[in-house]
Amino acid sequence: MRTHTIALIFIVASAGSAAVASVVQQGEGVRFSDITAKSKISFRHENGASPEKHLPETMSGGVVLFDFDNDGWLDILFVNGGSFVDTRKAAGAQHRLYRNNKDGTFADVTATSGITVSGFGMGACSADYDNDGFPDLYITGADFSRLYRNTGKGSFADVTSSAGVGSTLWSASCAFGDIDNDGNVDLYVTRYVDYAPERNKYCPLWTARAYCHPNEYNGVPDLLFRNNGNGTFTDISRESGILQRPSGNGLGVVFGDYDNDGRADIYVANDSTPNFLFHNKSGGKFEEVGFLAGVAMGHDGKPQAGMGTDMGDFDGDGLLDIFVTNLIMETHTLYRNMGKGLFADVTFTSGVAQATLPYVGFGTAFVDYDNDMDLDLAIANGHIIDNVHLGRDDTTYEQLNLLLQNDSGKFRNVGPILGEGFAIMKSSRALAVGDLDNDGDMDIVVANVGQAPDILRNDGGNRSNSLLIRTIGTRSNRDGIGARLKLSVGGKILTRDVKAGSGYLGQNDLRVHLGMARRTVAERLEILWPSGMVDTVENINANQILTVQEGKGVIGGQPFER
Amino acid sequence: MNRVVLWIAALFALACFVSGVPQTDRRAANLIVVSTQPDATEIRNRVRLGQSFELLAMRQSIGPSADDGGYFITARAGDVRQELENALARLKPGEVSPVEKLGRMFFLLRRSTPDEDRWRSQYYAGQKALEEWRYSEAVQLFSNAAMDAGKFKGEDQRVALSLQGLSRSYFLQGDYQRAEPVARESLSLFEKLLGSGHPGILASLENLAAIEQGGAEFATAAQHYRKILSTRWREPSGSSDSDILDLLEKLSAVLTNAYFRDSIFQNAFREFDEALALTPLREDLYAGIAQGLFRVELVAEAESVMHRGIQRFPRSREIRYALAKIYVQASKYEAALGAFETAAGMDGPADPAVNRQQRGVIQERIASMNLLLVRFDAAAAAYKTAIELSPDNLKARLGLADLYFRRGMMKEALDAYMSANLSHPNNAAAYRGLAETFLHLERFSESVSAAQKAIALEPDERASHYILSLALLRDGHNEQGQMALHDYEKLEAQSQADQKHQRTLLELDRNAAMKLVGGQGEEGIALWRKALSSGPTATLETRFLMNLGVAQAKLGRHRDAAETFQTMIDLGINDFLIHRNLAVEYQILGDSRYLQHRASYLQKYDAALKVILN
Repeated sequence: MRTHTIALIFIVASAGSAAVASVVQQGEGVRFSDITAKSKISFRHENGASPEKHLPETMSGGVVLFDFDNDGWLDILFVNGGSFVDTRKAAGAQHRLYRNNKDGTFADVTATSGITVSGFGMGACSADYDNDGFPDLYITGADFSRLYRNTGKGSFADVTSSAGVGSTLWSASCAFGDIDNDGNVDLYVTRYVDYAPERNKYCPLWTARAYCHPNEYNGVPDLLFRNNGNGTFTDISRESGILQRPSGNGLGVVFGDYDNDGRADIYVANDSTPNFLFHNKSGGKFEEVGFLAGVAMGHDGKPQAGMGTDMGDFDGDGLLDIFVTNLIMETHTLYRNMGKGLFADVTFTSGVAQATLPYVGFGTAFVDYDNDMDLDLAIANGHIIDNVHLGRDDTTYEQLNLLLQNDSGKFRNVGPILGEGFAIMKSSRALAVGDLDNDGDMDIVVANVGQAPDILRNDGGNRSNSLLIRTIGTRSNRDGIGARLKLSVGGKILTRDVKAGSGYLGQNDLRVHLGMARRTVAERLEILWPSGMVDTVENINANQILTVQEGKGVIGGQPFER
Repeated sequence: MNRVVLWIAALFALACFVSGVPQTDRRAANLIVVSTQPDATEIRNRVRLGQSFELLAMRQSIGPSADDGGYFITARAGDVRQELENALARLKPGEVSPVEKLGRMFFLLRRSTPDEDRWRSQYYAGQKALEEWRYSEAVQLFSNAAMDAGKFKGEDQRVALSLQGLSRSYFLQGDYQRAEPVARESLSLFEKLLGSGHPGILASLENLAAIEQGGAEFATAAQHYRKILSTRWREPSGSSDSDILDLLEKLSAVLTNAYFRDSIFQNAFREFDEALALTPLREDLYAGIAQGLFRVELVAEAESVMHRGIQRFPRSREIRYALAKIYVQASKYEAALGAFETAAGMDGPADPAVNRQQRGVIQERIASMNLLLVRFDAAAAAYKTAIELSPDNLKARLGLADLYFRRGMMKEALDAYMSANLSHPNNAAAYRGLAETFLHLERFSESVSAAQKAIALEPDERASHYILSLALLRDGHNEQGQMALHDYEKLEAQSQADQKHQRTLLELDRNAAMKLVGGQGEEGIALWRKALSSGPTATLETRFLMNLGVAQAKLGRHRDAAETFQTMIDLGINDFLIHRNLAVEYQILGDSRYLQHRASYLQKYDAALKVILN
């Protein structure tokens, strides 16, 4: 690994944001405001809920935060569902692309986006797969998946067939990652079960009909596509080793180098079957080590409902930990990376169990919402069974979302003190975090099944300091996906990876956010690129968006919008 | 919570049987227990006027062994409560004690005479001989007992008891000709002594009915089984024999047709519900009926029955508790919590020890509901109360330990699991809890040891294997860890395969029912046959055969239906509903076997209700 040390660079921030008042207690006064109406986002998810209870109706609803027009502001794609019984609804269930107007509002640019209606949509992920500087999109669905190449002119072209990444079975979450560090991002697609409308099963809930448990169907194998670097992909699912276990009911996926060997590993959350941890052995080969590592099952040796997942270093030891959302009474599960390829289930000792027991979780993200340098957890909840009240009185279809604050490895739900944003009760699915207004704190977008989404603006998180880092690869893939960032600040080393796809059916801001609490200067930023190159930047002022290019270091910076 | 069982547990520390106790230490007596002093005084006066103490016990006592005249034996100090001990010590053979207090109740004792003891010896010896298949000897012993009993003054149920034993001995020898008249005589005596509607005659009725059934006198056997059902389950102050029989018959129709939810079911349920509204039931029968309905997934209906029970017995702790259990089974934990809490606040049995134990059980249930509802503080308080009330309550101890674990209080969890382990050293769940807690505390070798003990006690429990493998791997024993992981994965894979197979079969069952209801009966029948040929478990086989038989009957294929139900009986599946359905089919076909199965249906209905309530 070559180290390319950059000489001291001082980026002079504007006076207004250079020194943030540090008298505010960590996290105090942070609120999430529901700005959905103000944002002018009028999207409403169509799930086609029907008496026949087609399973995709209750599972759909993805959201991706990405800058499709490269103007430095996050745009939003909402993935729509459709209908299995009403062709008009099905035809009208358009995915919606919203461009950020930079003033708190968004414009619906779907009409010119080139993104068409096709089948029943599930989720999406985004990356610049052809390294042309513009992020592309992969949209999954219950009966199709499509790759849209960004033309760079504000629109997308469907290149599914030519790229060779189509799928006609039920795809759920997807993620891009460079499995062989060749500079081209590859694509992992989870697939769920072999449901088809003509094989829709009748599942009773006492005397009523309800959505079926996924085990009423058979799991379908996931897909791993290797990027050939020429606009096409090769399906290497079998030869890569990701099919060595019986098919799980794949719902969530995230890339992450959990053993710090420089190769991207993959964690897959499976619904009611063991989760997968694919250890990258290099050369495009993986070994499934979930059981060995202790991350396949719940604490009691039983498979859990595994919906959404994320990887993040919550305890600051430089090792990526894993979080998975599950069903009510299963608890969502937190696995702490012990090193040497082993994980400890710290769900109970960390407080996560108590906070999550009554919820059915879907989308999730590690996020430092209060900029105190610790990774907290945002979780979107909502039951699967829309008539659950017929069978139980201890839960509801619509549920509160959670924000678990991390206090030195102990988590507690602070949703009740975060204002209206976390008082919303809906049946939520995807959750994506990103700095929508570029003001230095992380906002949240929640996709709700059969309803409008919630755009939650973080107010007050930026009373503490932070950095937002955009990576541009040169030898590595263009987005720098898979790059490992280490920020030394205030005696701590914050470890964050560039991820393209995580949670459930969605994707967060590709830029890496690093809270700095009261620190106004970080001593050092180290970027370990997938290519093996290392860039180092020293003495970085807080409260700015930095662009770092592989081999060059910081090539641009702009202060947060305040 | 069987009241009689609890009474026996409370009053008798140790049961002493005749054969094992030296004659000199042994004292036999009869006990009558009643709720009020005036009742006790009145009974004592009747005894003084020459009425049989044992007969009065059979008629009026609510104490243990009332059916047996309140008879008990004590050999050493501590066998019985001190109050009884003291009273007995003051009595000579044949004497009756004054009325004395026992908790909130009142009792009378009568010490047995040597003649009475001798009769008892013979009678028990006869029973033992029956149990050990020494029928000829039993005949002799009961004959002698009958002669001895005939010497007691006045009308005495011991003659009837002796004759009952004798008839049973003849019956088991296969000598129905001798058995039946003796049984009739015994029953006649009981009816004279107790009255024809008294529960004390039930054993005699059962005896006679069994003999008649054995001798192929099915019509009369059925009559007697009807009598048994109505006598045992009728609410004495409310319903008539015909009311309760009619209700039970309508319940059978509901249970038979519940799975299909068709118009026949709707009518059957309507009729049952109307009858239920008009028929007061015995307190415990509400719970029995509700359980029966719940088992066929008539959840709302089961709740409704319990609410009727509450209206009839608003102060009954047992009914509240039974309702709470229905709520738990229906995953209605809030409602269950409310019902348990209400039960906790109600008066329980008069005996303080029994009451305390009951309260302990209820507190444990309250705690477990609070745990499910994530109200950890309330759960902790209730578990601690449960343990205080009943230190032997393993569920409460394990529940508290589990609660600590879920709260991440690992040291407390460890202490609690160790405490459970100490009080119940051979409990796999306690070892498993210890193993998991040690794992979380990163005390891997101790985790391994505890997991191994759990596996030794429950070899197929997957969680223990899982914990063992994780602990071994983290303790650096890679090879052993991999082997343990392999064992776990095998069990897990087998479990998944079994569950998948079960789901597939249940889907066939559901689809078959939908076909039938949708007018595609033959296709439904074909699906059931497919399900039956796919290797179902015994439980599923019973369900599929039952559904197949009922479907065939609905399609008018009575011969096929009869064959299906007969197959079930030939396979040893002897549920009362099967006999009922078979009787119906045979009757339609004009086959005289319907009488036999009608009798069996009634006999097994009674047995089934007893099982549910116990």
